[in-house]
Amino acid sequence: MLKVNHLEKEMSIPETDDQLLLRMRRGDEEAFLTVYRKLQGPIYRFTLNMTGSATVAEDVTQEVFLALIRQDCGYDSARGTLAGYLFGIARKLVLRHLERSRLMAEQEIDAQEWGLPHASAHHDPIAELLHTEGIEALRRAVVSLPKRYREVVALCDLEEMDYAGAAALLGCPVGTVRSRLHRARSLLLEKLQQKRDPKLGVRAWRTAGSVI
Amino acid sequence: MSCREFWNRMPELEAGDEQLGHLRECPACVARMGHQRMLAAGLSHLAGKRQDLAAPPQVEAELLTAFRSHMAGSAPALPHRWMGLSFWIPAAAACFLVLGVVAWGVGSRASHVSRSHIVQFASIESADAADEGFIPLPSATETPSADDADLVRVQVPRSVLIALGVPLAEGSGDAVEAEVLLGAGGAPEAVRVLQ
Repeated sequence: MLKVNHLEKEMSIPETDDQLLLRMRRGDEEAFLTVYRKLQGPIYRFTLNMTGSATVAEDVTQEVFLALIRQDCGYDSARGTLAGYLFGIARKLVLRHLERSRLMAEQEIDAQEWGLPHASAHHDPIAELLHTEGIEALRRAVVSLPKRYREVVALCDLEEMDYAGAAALLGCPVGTVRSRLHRARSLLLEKLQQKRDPKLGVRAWRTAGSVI
Repeated sequence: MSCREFWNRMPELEAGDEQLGHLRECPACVARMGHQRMLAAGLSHLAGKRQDLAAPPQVEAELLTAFRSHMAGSAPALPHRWMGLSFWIPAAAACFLVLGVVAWGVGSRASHVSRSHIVQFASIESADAADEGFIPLPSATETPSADDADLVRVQVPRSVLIALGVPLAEGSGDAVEAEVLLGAGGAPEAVRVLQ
């Protein structure tokens, strides 16, 4: 077994989650760091996209891996990947945070919204989505989405998780992920259009061709 | 094909012949399709720009310390970070709600009081605490200790502060900016009006 592990290291064959966890449980720091470095970025970004707060993203990332260290996460490789499991912990922490600070979070988002640079009437925020200001407006629009839509955008569009993975994580059918994503994108477009002309709002966008 | 059928059949924005036929005769769907594709490109661009975002290095260092501590047989040394605050501040705010106080804007604005400041506050008598401007809340159960106290900046409805007996100067607006001293359990212990 030791020879096999050694050989895998030498040949840079990626270890499975189970192998890494086994080494971790034996006190192998390198194994822990391998897991951490592989997964902390996606978990951090998911939390950041969900909460809009770097502080909360750091906290949640830390809590997720502390749970892994404490072995109280109950991970079972037969039920899914380690990444999916840790994302699940992160999601629970994020939802708990959002729920507890719902009022405050909404007000903070409102404050951010008010802080947005108002696009002048001749600017099309959708056409500017590939520019810095457009990207920033899009980021804020994502954070202001309702939770269930925000998380599918964060997972599927921003972390490029496949629909099946997102469905497993969210505990819903793939079709639900797909429809939420579709609705989320429509909401994003509505929000970006509203930035262009708050008076037009949703009604104008709908008359521009939305039928769903 | 109606517009609804068109969109129901192509959530991935990849049009087949039938869909292209609809697009040729429906300018509204053409425009909407353009926006959807632009949004998809924007999201992809945003994802690319944030691809390198990661937790700061100190998180890894603290977790490594916790890992070593756990492997040494002791409980993981929980780094004293904002987790406690970011989760407990809303809880503290909930306490305020019970009292009829609405607190907001806590998470990102919350800040630890520096140790020296707390030591100074903890070591002074109540008369001196008043000099600091902190007014004990009716629900206060403890004197904040040097190690446990946190300071939170909140907006409190003027009417609530008046009900708590906090003297307020005349001013405009329904909310007043104040600092709240949290005890070890995250419960609000004292308040200081900033305005």
